[in-house]
Amino acid sequence: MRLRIIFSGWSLSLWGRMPSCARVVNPRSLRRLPIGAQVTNLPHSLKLGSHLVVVALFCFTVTAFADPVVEAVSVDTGSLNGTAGSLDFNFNPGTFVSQSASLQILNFSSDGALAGSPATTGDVSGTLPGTLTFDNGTALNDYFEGFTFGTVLKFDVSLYGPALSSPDGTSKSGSLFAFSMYSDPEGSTPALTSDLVDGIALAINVNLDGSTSITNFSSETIVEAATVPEPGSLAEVLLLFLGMIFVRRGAGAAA
Amino acid sequence: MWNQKVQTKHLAVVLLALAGTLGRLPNHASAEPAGSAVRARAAEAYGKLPMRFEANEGQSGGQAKFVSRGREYTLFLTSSDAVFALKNTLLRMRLLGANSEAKATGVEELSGTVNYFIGNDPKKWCTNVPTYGKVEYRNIYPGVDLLYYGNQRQLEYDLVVAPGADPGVARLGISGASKIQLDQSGDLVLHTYGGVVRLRKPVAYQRTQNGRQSIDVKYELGGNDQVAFDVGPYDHSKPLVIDPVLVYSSFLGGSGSDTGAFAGIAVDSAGSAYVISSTNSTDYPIVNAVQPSYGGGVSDVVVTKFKPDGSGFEYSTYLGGSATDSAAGIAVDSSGNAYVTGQTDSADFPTTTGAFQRIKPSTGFNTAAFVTKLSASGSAVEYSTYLGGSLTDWGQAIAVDSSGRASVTGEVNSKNFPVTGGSLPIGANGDAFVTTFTADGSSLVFSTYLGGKLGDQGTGIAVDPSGNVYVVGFTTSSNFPTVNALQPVFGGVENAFIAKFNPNTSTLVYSTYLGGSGADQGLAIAVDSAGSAYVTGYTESTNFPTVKPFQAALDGAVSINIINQGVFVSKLNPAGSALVYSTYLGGGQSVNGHGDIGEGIAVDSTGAAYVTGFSQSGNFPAVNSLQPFVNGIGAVYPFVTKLTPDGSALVYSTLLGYGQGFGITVDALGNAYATGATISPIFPTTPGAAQTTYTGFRDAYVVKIAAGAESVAAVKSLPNPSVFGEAVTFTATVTPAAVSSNTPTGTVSFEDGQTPFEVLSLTNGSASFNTSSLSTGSHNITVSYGGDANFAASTSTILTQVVDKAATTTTLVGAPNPATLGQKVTFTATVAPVSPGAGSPTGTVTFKEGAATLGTGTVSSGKATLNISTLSAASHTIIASYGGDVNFTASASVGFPQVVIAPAAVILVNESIKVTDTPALMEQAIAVINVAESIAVTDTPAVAAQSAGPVNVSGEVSVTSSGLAYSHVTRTFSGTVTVKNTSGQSIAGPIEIVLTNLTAGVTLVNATGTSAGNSYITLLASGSLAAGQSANVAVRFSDPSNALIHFTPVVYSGSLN
Repeated sequence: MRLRIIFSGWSLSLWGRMPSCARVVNPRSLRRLPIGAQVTNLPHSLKLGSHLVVVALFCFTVTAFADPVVEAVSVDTGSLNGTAGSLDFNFNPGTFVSQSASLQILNFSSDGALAGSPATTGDVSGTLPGTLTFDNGTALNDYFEGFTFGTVLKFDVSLYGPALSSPDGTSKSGSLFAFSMYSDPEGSTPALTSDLVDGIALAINVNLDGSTSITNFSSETIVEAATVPEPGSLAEVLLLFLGMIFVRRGAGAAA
Repeated sequence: MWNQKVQTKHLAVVLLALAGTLGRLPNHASAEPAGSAVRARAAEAYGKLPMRFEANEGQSGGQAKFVSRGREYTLFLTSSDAVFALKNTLLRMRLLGANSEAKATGVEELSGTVNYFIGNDPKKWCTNVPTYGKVEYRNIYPGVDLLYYGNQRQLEYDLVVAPGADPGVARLGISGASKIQLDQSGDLVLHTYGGVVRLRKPVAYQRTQNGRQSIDVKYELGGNDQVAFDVGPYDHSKPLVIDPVLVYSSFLGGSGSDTGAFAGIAVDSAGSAYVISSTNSTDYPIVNAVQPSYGGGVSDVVVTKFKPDGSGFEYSTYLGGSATDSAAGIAVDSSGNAYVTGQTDSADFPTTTGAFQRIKPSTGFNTAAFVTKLSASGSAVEYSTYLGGSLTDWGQAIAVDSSGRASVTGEVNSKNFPVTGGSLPIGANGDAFVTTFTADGSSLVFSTYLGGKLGDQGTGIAVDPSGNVYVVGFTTSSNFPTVNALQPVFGGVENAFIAKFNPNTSTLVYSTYLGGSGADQGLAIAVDSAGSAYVTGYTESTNFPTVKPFQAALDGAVSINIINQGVFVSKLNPAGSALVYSTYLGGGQSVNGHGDIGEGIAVDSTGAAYVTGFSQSGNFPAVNSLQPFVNGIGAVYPFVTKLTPDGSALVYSTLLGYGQGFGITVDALGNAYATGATISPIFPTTPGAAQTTYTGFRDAYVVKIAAGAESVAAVKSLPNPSVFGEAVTFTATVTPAAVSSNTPTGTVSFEDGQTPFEVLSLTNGSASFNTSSLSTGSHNITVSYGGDANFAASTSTILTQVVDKAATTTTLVGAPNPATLGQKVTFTATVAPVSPGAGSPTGTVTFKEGAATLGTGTVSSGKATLNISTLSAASHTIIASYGGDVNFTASASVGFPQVVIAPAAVILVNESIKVTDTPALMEQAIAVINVAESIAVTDTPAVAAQSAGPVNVSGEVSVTSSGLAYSHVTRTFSGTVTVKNTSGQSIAGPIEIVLTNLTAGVTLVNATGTSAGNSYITLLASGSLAAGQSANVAVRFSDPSNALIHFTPVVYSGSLN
């Protein structure tokens, strides 16, 4: 299987063979995935390399664990094309002590159109289609904005902060990101979701152990791990490259 | 209607010719059918004859001016007739209403002459008689010349119409024909005992820059052997804009004399004319009469109500006793009750019980006035009373105010005439009187003499909207009582007077003379809504006061011992202190010794005055007259004249047949209704009129005249059909019925059925407006055009505007959602119109779950609600069904998912439960046992724990939670609380979490219950939580202030209920 990773204009091809149980679960993402979706985990593929590489990987796993979790969200909004509706994003702590966590909405794009001015509550900054940044410091951290739907809506969700990078083991509550779509500007009529009570299409919870859980109520919504390498991942790639050289040299020497 | 069609045609062209040809003349007494072969033979025969016209210099005698002789006929041209002397018969074609004084002139003199040597008396010989190729009559009608000539050996005639003249006035009266018909080719076929004469279909043309342009024209048969010319559209190059249009014209009478010295007319809001006159006809047309038989004496009063279209009578009745009864005036109230007055010599004149004066107050030949009120149907006398004293008193005019109070004026000779306190002093030698009756006719509101030391007579009366009473008359008294007078001094001989009284007293608001140094009589009065009085009559004064006059001087030749007589029309301001305008009309003196007299006047809502009377002067001004004015011996012509509101011009002024006009009124659309008397069988009537045949030697006539050229009103709408609340645009257009250089102006009234709902001014002949207020259903929309100075009023055909119900949408929400079992849920249905419909739906909404009805709600401000607490713990799909109302259609919502939560949903991670039997504990009754603090229970059977009561197991568990998601739909925070058994043994259910120290203002929406004031939620309803196992429970919070949600969990094993 050929994997292509692109970062800052660099191109690096890795060749390897995935096991038959090709579905590899990101330990930080207990997600309900669309049928046929695959999530690749670079550290696992590196296990196919040498012991030296594995050691190097473990070293950097700690670093990687501290990196943001980025989920690419894509919604087929064709059934609402032209509808004057609204979007809502919120990221809130739980009922007990929640460790600090942050969230960003990145790369928002759509052939629809944002409408009116956003309404924000709590620790929220930024304005779509730019980056939104949420902190979990207050009970309600919410961004709501009118939106005339087009045929597709895409954005990335980046979760980061101590709750993900260094869980303290004492906090008792996670933090939850919720994304909702409505077919009316007032946000009273849920759309593209089976959650007709609350109208939530997608929820991502930051668990106490720093992992994330994704709940997708929308058949029109696809959530994938973003293919943007994280700084830690890039370091892993470089180590892998160096490791391969090292192995080849070792092999060559042995030969 | 042929008369109408003829009369509306106008020419404003350089030349319009109508040509008719004498296509065939009879050759023998045995008439042959007209056919092409016969015509060919005739043409051939006449082709050998010269077509010449001989001046009649005595050789033919009689009235003929010229003679033309053919082999089988002789044509005599008189001043108005063309007479064909056929074998055994005379065929006469008369140009009706033509100018009998028009001079026939021979033109294109031929070289040959004719000599007649008849008898042996040379004095009777006619020699060197000139012959001509053509004979011309100048101004046979106003602006119309007649030309006879030969063309291809056939006799032809042209009517040459000058710009602005009206060809419609030309009508042929045929006599001597046994039958008149039009054949398929449009030829006029005259059947005579001498054979068949055919007049070819006429030809009309108009000379334009592009040459000769044909104009449609055809003969049109009318009644009484009359033939008119129906001319098609043509170019009006000059703005001859006003046509009086004869809407209907009817005789009215029986075989006797059907008008006396007076006749009156009134009209109701439906356009029915009411006419009063006197008759001695015992066969007067009677319909629905309250008195069907002639009463006796020299005459009876007759009252006739016409149908609005003039086609018949609503009622027609005699009114009188066994002696002589004479009509004078009539008025109609808003309910259609007619009030009439006049004079009666009958001691048995029909009076009613309770009437003011039931017994004739005078004896012998002394007449009394009478006042009678007839019901709208004419079938009953509402009241009827004499009015007078012991001598002769006359009622001459009557008016009625908005309260149904009749006011009467006339002449009084009685010194004991019934007057009320405050009456003006009695004069002498006859006074005018003014009397106002109560509405029931039983008593007097006020009654007064009005006069001076000599003769005074009230002739006309009117009432303004405030109830002020206006009287006109004439006086020879130099001390006639004047108040606030514009002319306080008697002018001389005889003057008109105008007086205005307060509604309820004999107090004069003003009283004034009006006249010059000659004899001036005021004969009629009208008043507009502002209280300006309009009076007419006649004047013989050359110094009659004029202001802004249309005609500044009395017409007529001035010579010694000749006193000219003309009409005057004057408008007084409401205070009576000044003349707004005052003008002469006509004037002169005929050989009969009379001139022009104004007998009746009316005023429309624009302030335009309408005058009727009669003219003998030959000088009366004509504007677009329906017939020419001709002066001559015995020529007496009724006239109807409309003035512009400022009195400076005549809108139209027309003669009507032959006779005398007495009364006139006008309806809200500016249609004039006039009545009078005629002794002319050829008085112009219209087909379909109630009585088109002259029946006696003096009939009344009734005409309705529309002002101006005919207009066509039309209305359209968009969209049609529409839905309730949708804006509909109505557009009215008013166009001239015939080609005109003018565009109708003024206003149009849009009416929905009988209800006016918009009045707009025309712009370029159209007016539009939008409305969203139409109710559902069909609306019959019409547009009524009020007319202007150039065009007559008209009403559109009915446009049916259909307004359907507007569609609706129904949406439904429930709150709270989810709700806990037993919690009140409020369902709110919103019912809204679907655009373009608009408005507020009413009615009811039925809330259903499947086929089961949960309840209903009344729609108010577009919403209906239902509160319900009996929903089971389940997910329900609720539908709101709106039933619709008169304006909106029914609709239903989509299913609304309402969730009702049972206490504590529990997810067991591990079902492993260990139970040991400890019967002793079953005996204990411990309300709350904190296991962590007091008792360590190992392998405690679940059953025993349940029955032992709740035990705080907080120390045995860890409690964590997810983050909370906020919902914009429910305005709640929801998440999950997880309890993990961290002890080494199982914890028996039920297990509840008590939320202590919950943030102020925060509510656990899905709480199972409360314990010691704290909400709790059931984690595990039954079973047990094994060691190491976790269980989750969903929690939902209401947090209106968005405060951080926090609580301290206390976990109990055992029921808290």
